[in-house]
Amino acid sequence: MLNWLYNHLWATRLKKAVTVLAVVAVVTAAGIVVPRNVGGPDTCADGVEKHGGECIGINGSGYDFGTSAIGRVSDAIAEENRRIDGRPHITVALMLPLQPESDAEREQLRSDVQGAYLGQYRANRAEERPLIRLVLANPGRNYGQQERVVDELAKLADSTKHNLRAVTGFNLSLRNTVDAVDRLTNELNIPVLISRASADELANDEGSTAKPRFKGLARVIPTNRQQAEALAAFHGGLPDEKTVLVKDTRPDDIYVDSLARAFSRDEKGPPGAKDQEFVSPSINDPGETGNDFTLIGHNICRSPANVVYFAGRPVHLRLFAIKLAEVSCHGKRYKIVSGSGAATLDRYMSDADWKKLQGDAGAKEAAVTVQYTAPAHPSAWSRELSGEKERPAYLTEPQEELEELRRLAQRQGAGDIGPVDLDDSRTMLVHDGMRTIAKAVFMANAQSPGAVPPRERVSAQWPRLESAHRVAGTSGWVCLTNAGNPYDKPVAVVELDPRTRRLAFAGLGWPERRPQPKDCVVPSGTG
Amino acid sequence: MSDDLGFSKLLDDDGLVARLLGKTLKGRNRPLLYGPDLPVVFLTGGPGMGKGRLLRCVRDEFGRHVPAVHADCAAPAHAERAGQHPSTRSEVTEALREMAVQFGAWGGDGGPIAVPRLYAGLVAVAAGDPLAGSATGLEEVRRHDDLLPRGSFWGGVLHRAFRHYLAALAALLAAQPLATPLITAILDELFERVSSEGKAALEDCYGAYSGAAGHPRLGLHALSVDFQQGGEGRANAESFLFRALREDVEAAYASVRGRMARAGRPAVLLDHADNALGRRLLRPVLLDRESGHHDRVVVFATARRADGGRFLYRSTDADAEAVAAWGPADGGLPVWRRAQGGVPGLVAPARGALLVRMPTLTTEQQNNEVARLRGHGRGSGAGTLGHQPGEHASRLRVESGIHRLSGGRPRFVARLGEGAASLRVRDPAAFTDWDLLDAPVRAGDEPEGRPVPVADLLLDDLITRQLPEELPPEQHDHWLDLLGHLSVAHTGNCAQKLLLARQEGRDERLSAYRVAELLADSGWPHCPRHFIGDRGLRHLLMRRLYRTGQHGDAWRADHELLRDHFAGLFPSAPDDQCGTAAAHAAHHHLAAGGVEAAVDHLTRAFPLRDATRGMAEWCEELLAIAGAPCAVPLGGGTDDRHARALGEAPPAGGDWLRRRIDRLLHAVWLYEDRTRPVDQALTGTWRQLLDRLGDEPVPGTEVLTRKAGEWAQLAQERQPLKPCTCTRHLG
Repeated sequence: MLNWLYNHLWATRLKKAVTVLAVVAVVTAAGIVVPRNVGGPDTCADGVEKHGGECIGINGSGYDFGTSAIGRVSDAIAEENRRIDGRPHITVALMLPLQPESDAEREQLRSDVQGAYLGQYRANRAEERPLIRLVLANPGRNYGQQERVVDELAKLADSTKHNLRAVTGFNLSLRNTVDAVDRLTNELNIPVLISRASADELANDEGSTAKPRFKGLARVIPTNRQQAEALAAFHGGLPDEKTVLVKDTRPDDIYVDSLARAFSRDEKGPPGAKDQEFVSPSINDPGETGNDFTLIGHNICRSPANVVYFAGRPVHLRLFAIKLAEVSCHGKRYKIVSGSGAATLDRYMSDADWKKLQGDAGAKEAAVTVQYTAPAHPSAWSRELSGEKERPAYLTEPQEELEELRRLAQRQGAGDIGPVDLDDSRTMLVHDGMRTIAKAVFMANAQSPGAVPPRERVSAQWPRLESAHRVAGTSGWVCLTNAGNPYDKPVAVVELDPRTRRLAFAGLGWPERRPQPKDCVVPSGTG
Repeated sequence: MSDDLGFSKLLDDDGLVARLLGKTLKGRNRPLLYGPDLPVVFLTGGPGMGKGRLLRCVRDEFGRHVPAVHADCAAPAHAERAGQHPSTRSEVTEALREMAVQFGAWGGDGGPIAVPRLYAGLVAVAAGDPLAGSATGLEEVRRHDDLLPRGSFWGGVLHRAFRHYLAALAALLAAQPLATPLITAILDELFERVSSEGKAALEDCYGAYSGAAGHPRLGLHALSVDFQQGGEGRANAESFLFRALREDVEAAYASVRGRMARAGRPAVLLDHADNALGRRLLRPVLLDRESGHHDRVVVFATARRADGGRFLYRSTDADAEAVAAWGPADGGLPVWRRAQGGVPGLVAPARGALLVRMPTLTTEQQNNEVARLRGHGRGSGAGTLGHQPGEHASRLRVESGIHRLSGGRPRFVARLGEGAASLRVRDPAAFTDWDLLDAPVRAGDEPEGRPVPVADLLLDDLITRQLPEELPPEQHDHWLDLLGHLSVAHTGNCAQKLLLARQEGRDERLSAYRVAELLADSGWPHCPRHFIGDRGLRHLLMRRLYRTGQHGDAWRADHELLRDHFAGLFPSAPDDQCGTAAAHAAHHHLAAGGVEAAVDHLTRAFPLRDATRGMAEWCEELLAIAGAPCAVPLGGGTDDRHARALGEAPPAGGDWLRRRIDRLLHAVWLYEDRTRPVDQALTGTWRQLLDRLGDEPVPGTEVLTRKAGEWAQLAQERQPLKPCTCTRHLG
């Protein structure tokens, strides 16, 4: 047989050439056809495959997705997962783009993952069953490849070994995010808890008659509208002529849209300047917006407005603030008010930028200050409580929780997970999300036979989490309405002062314009 | 005989043949040995060594992977066909034509090998007879149509031009009488139709013909004229035609297409190449290559002479060292490199020859072959016969007989094996080689024929069918008889005496020295102590001699003739073979049956009686006399040597010394007669016998003691007491 092959395929140069060409042709064809049909992608790690240059997939065994910033915390997660392996457990997936491109984003991501891990760590030590296994799910940049990951999550949910019972995370309000949540909840019946995306489109509408958009969705972060309400409530009744709205009209960015809608509420008094619109090329690309902002700055200068509502992404906010400061306007001082996304603003600012916002060196006040809502702030509770005689539970309980979390992080009780920075609120929110999920799972388990509650039972617990079963989060009480939204969850209004370059806590804003009711009983009519 | 018996070293994957051809038996490529200058490989070996079988093996096995054309130079067909038109054909043109046809029929890698150059030459030769009618001439030309290359040689238009050319040839026939000589007309047509590629090829080839001065047409004309001229001119033309064929083959390999589609080297296998045709084919190859016309055709030629053939040498003494000789038993691969310097045409052609000695079969190969022939594998029959008592002993006896008679010569082994297959050995101890030679066999090509003794068949194979080329035809009938007589002779002188006596009354006589030359030409080895140097052949001839006439008369007559010759000389005259003429006479006397005379001679010559003789001398004489062949087993009479050696059969008479010498002579005679198994009991008596010879005070007793030790040692190893060139490899 071998000789036959040799004599027919290899005996002369011509045969060798023909054979080599044929083999090359076949291999090339196979190389083109097979990966397309069979989809034999490269593997980055266990359960993680390479698609379009990104490592897409789910991993809970310590893979850091090439992002060294989360290396230590993912190792800690793997260690915790190993520890509980073999005991009854459910799986919670943290779905976030895990391969960010900038250092700033990498640090934010670390805060997110740390929050999830600390939540898992505390839940697994609450002497409740089942235990929680945490896995990281990377849907790719801008959730571009969420479909693959959702497919994988569906398999985990059906697997009796993994028992995926909730998906959390979701830090960007994008069309892909909505699609992912839609499919997870409505199609696959997997409970989803959004801990970081604030867009109104990622929330169910309140009202007993409304059919929920997402079946089994819960949130721990107020929506943009709620934040804007809180911000508006915090500012009291500013007359309309004193405010102007600058909004980004790039399509498909629902964060910006919802922010713009919240800021467009009717205000008292004579009408102010009209809305100033611009179009940015993408979330992170300033493009040609700088020129627009200079012109907008001129117009605002001539108007009586000195409070600017900015419905846009932080990159554009920074540029806008700088341009506004550059437009010389007879010493006029501005206050720019924006959404929770502005929390990342300081990460984009350079020294020169700060100086520009500061305006004249000798001036008492900065030319431009930026005020925005942070979904939480670590000094909120202590500042609110200081000097107060009353110590309402809606302040003290979160304070205690926060202290506990801080202690855990500071003494590295949960292992070395890298530096923990609570200021940007991410750690607190994701942690609260995990706590909420854990509570729902424990409650569901108490009501159903077997070691692991079914998915439907978990999502059925979301409306129970109020009043007696409220979750005392580090960012405030989490009391879910029937639509799965946190009721009247306070937001921290923070101010970025160019002179100190620090984020100053300005106060708490309440979306319902008043603090949460006693024991967090959600009043009727809210859902 | 299996086809590749004994050739494993030559044919295996890294053997000489595979490396020369660049392909193994299975078709795997192998790095090429030598090149671009190649030697002509001469397979040397006497009759029955398997030279032709090896060539057939190469043709059949390697011919599947490389073009291997086979031409038998001894085939009568060449001469026959050449004889039909002697003016336009010769044996060489016919052989070349046959090779070209085989190259054209090659169907393996690269496809048929076209021979446009040879075609042009053959056509020129065919059309060259000025006396032939144009119809005859054209017929000769058309005979070569099948050599016409189809396709590429005729360039762009391919078959159309080819057909046009054929049509033009046909038209020539119609246009009688021709206005120009036929050859001019033919060449006109040829050069008109040929493509530029073909023209370049012809120019390269025939432009180099002597006198052509670069014009192919002139070259072809000259070639044709030279051929017609005969003699040296014709030889020139013929050698050029073979060069044209080799250039055709070379071109088929060296072209871009050839390089891509062909692998290895083509082979030309010339069987019986030591005859006139073979020499006429080989000499030009050797000369061309010597003068730098290299080609990649591997030429295998068979030659019976161990030195490849006399035509290879200019003056035997000076060139004998220059030739590269190698045998598979030497291991590795032969180192061949053309010696530098010298004037091409004056140096010996042997520089371009590689002599490959045909391998003899090893003992193991012989045994395997015999076992195969004796029917292991004949089915259940062998199983039921099983291992009868004594079968093992008889098998060993037969094997040893075959080993000693054949000397590893494959044909011998095969024939004797066939004979042994039909033999039932009843008493292994009494079984002699003569019995083996009597075994009846059917000749292979006559399955229904009467079985004949294997010895006769072998003589037919080895002698009658392979007569020396230079043997005068009138001697053909007597050749075997002459050799039979010569089987009793030792030296040329003995032989000459015999021949003079036996050729009395004939007009054409051969001298013994001429016979020795003819034997060497036939590839038979030389032995200083035996005129017929091959032990196996000698035994065949002795047996034949004995069977000539009644009761071994011829045998006895020949020995007595020699005995009388030597007895007629002065007794103590020195003799090369036996020490003295008297001893030589005694030797032949003993062979002729004169035991008593031999014993008498030895008794007389014993130093005790003849003080002039030394003991060592006497011992040598004893061995020389005891080397005589014994006719008794041949005639089927009772062999009393054993009994006489042990003293059981009383000698005719004489004193104690004669009796002891009688015993000793018989013991040594029996031992030295290697046609029968060695009797170990007998060898044990030597020491005693030799010691007792020294009982009386006699000069040289110490020699007797020493000899006793030496002989005992040799007997233990079953070595002959007096070794000889022709038995050295047998033991």
